[in-house]
Amino acid sequence: MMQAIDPNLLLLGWLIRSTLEMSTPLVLAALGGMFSEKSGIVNIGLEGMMLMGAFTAAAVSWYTGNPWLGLLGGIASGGLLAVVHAVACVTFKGNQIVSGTGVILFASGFTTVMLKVVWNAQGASDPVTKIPDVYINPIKDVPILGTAFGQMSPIVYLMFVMVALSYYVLYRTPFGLRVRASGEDPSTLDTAGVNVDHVRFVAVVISGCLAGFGGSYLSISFLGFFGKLMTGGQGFIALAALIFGNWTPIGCLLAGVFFGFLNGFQNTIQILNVPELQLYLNFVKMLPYVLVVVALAGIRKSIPPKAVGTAYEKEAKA
Amino acid sequence: MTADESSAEVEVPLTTKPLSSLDLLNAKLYTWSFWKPVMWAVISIVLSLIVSAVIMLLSGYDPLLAYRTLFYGMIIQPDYALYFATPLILTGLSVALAFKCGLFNIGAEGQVYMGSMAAAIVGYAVALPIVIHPLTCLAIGAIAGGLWGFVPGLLKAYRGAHEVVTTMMLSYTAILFTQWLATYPLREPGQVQLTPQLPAILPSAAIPNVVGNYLHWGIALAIVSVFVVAFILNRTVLGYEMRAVGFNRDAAEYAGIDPRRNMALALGLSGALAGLAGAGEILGNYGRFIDHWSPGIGFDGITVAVLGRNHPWGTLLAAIFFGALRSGGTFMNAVAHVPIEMVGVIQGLIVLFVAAPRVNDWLAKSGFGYAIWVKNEPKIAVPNLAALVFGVISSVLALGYCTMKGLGGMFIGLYFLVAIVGAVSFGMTLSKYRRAPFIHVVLCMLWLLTGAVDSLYLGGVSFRTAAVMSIAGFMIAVALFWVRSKMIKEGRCQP
Amino acid sequence: MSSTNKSMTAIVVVVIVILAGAGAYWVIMNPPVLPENPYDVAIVFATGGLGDKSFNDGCNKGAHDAVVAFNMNYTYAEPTAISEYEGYIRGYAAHAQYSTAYKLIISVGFDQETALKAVAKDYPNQHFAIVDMFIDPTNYTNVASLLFNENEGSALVGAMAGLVTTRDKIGFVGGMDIPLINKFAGGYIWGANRSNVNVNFTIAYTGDWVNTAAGKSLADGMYAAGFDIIFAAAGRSGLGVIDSAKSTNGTKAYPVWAIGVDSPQMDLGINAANNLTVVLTSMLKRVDIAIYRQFESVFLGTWTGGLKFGTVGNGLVGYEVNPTWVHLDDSVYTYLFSLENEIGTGAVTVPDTKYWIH
Repeated sequence: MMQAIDPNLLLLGWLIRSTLEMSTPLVLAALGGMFSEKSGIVNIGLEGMMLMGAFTAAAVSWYTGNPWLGLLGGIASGGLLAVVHAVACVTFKGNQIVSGTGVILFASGFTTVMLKVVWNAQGASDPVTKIPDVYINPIKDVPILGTAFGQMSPIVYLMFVMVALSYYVLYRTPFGLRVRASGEDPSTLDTAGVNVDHVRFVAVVISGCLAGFGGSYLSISFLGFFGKLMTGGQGFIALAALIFGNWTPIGCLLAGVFFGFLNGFQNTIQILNVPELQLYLNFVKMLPYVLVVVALAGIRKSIPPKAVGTAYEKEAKA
Repeated sequence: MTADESSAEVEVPLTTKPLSSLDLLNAKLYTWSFWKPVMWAVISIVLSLIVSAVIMLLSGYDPLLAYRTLFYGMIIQPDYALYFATPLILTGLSVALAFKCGLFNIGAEGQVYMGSMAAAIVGYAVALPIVIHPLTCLAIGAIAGGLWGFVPGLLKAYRGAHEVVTTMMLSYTAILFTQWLATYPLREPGQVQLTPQLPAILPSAAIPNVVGNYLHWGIALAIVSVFVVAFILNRTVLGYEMRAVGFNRDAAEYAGIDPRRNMALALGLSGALAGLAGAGEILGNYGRFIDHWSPGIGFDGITVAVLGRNHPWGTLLAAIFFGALRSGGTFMNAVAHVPIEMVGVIQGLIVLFVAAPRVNDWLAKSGFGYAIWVKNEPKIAVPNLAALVFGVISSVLALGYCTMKGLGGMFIGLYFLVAIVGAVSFGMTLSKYRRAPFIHVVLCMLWLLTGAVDSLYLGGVSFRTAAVMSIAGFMIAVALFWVRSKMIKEGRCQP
Repeated sequence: MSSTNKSMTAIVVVVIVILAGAGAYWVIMNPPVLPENPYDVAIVFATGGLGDKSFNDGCNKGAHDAVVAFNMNYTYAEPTAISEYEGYIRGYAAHAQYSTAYKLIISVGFDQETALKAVAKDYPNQHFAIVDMFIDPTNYTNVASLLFNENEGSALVGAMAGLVTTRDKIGFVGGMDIPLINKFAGGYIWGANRSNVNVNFTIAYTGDWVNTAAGKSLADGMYAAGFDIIFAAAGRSGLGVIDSAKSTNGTKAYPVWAIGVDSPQMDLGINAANNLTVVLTSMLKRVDIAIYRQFESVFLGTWTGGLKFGTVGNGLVGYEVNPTWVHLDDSVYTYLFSLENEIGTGAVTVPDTKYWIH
């Protein structure tokens, strides 16, 4: 029975699954970046916050044996690191990009040192308890659908919920309005009696929580351990997805899924074992980066929030 | 930050007689605007060392031993420190130069790779006489890196593409592209190593060592580059225009300066410096292009430029400092077995502290504030300060116990609670919240509780500490409440 | 210029000078204690560092065993970049912090070649050993090169895969498309074809030694496409393959397996519920024994430089067996035993390239 199915068809199903799996951390972190940038604070520290989330999630899951607590820990630690970023560039009006760089450096060093402290390992931690996958048994044996959706991490579904939730929060709540206003026109918001710094601070912390969420997915759901620097630049790709998706939740989702697809696509090429194509895989890997540059170069107009990157200074009271 | 930068520039009085550079330097040395950033940098370093020490304590390393070996390692091998500093000077200059024009070249790493690849190709594939060969390689490397920086420069200038994103993306592209070159078309024939690499450069292309075993003549190149960049920025029309664009783009445009041309040029020059760094390392150190050879010198360039306040000379000093930190770090790792990543933590913290210069202002202000408080009202201030210190010590101690191996989950939870309450108590006392004494009492109770739980269930791992902490805490609490009642009587505090 | 500014500057300068002076004084007056060298051997690990569950850990285990057996001591350094190698090796060779030299300095990993050669030339009396790299023994008499015929071990695990596969489809996940890794691939496919002529295969590379997510993703895809055994020779990325086998196993009508590399990795795939592992076997490169023998020769005073090959014949290359974690038919072990003998005695030669591509 199984023999009858063309393996390439099976791979197609897997490609769908892989696309969703690989895009989940990207979309989550990109959503995080969106909250921060919509409020006017550039957050290039996403990479560091993801890494921190991945590490803490694995550590908590390892200590307690409960991956859901690990997930909470990962989200909280991402948020905590975002507090540092927020204090530096919202409260103290520091340079946002410099602070983001500091966050990345700190997180890379800190998680590597702590990897050694917690597991006495430098490369990868011991296996930790994973968040159990969700099985949809009725479709298990359906050819493509079964491979695609038969077994999936619950966080992948949560990711879609987060996209919807972000959309709702950003466009249907007063808080979302304030976030967008503080990124577009902070002085008007200030005149309306809203504390711009307060809004930005909260937005940056949300951003860190989402990035930590994405990182946790990597360490306790997709994989079952923490590896040194395991995010491997995904925070930067998330930033690219954010820009490619034009700073909107739906855009982040589409861009993230597209980048996830590129990843799954190059893996598929490899598994199909076409040596001629294998020679040029690096170019497929380059695609997300090149596409963002091309997009920014003006094939498509991208509209960042107007006040992004600048600290808001109140007019002098005197 | 750019506004800070430019306002920190020295006002040069307009005189008919040209001032010598020595006069200028002399004048500069007596200005607060010169010393303030230096002090910021020093304070940031000290603060980050303190925070790192806390992290080391929590992770079970001895910070005193670590710092002793670190500093010893920093000063006993100056040539080794300079060896690490050489590429950092150039990448730091690269980032600083772009920053002067208001641009953030976060993708120096990619320019480093393009430069090193170009230099490595010329180094092995072209036969040239000695001296001319390395110079040609360096020039080609600088051009390759420069082009890789010029593209985002053009995109920024004429299409408005944000350079932070484009340089970063092109950096990844460059790393993947050079990896491809090293894996397939240009791979060394018969190579058996685990990492793809190019054939070794010809001996005529190698940059010789200055002294000892590490330091190559690239250091001279780097120092000359500092002179050149300082000259370009301060003494040429181009540099003046770039700084004007960086200070205020609209005003510069109004004054007849073409901001587009300057931006593109600035990123191009910045890329050339990064490419030079890569080329120098290949010719002087690695001897061939190896996939993923760079230990992040492009990224470290940002930290160097940040600590050096984007001044060429500051960048030089910062690069030497980070180089020394790295050489000291290897010594620390070899002797004290503290992971060398600790140096990365220190670097990251320095950057975070430097990123927000107002932290130092705030610290200084509140520090002075407390000093004045203690002087004016010692009876009120001293108990409060004691509570402040108590909160911090509680937090750190409790976190330390949290990380102890082999304790039960409940115990860890209890100590985590103590740590959090300690932090809250610290925060409340610091902000002089009127209910802070109550939190302080809760903290003391928690210490008592942990002591009791410990002696009953765990055989007194931390019993003595908990007892001492709770006794000290309650003594402070008595003083706090005494002060509080007095203040309420005087009507200075709400009950 | 106001006088307050001037006095402020003066104060700042004085404070900085005093602080710096005090610091320097403290550091110079309190140099770390420099006793007689308490260590016999120093190890400079590869950039992966300890805890890679593979190569470096294997070396560390060998050193550990030797410490117990011979009452010797060793110290180590974990560089994070190629540019740090020479500093460490030279630091140990110069033994600046101790009065006596190390009896042996071991460099782990091929990429220490350049650094080691430079130092070995400057310290002709210091003994060195390098793992996984060929260093010309006529020019460098003070260096021992510890090399392994990984293709022979890969052939054995390949043969096992050929016998165990239920779908006649096996996969290989390598770190990079380079000769060293293709040596593993060549041996693996050769062995599988020898034990099972019907076997089909696919080969993929993670492009990175540390990208665990890529390893997992590739393995997921291979399992989805019906390949049921995957040999991972991709450093830390290989851990992702084992992880994938863990989460895929049980979702299919047939069992899926991963094969570990370098160190015993069967324990990484253990399912706590039934105490069985999804790691069929591991291709063992007994760096631990090689390192142990280096320590031993130092202890006995019989150390010599030159090339030391680890082969199936001398037991330094092999495969992991654990009947409690994996239940296999005895015929599998019988077949492997005879193949091991043939390879060990040199009756057959295992290819060391992707021999099917010309």
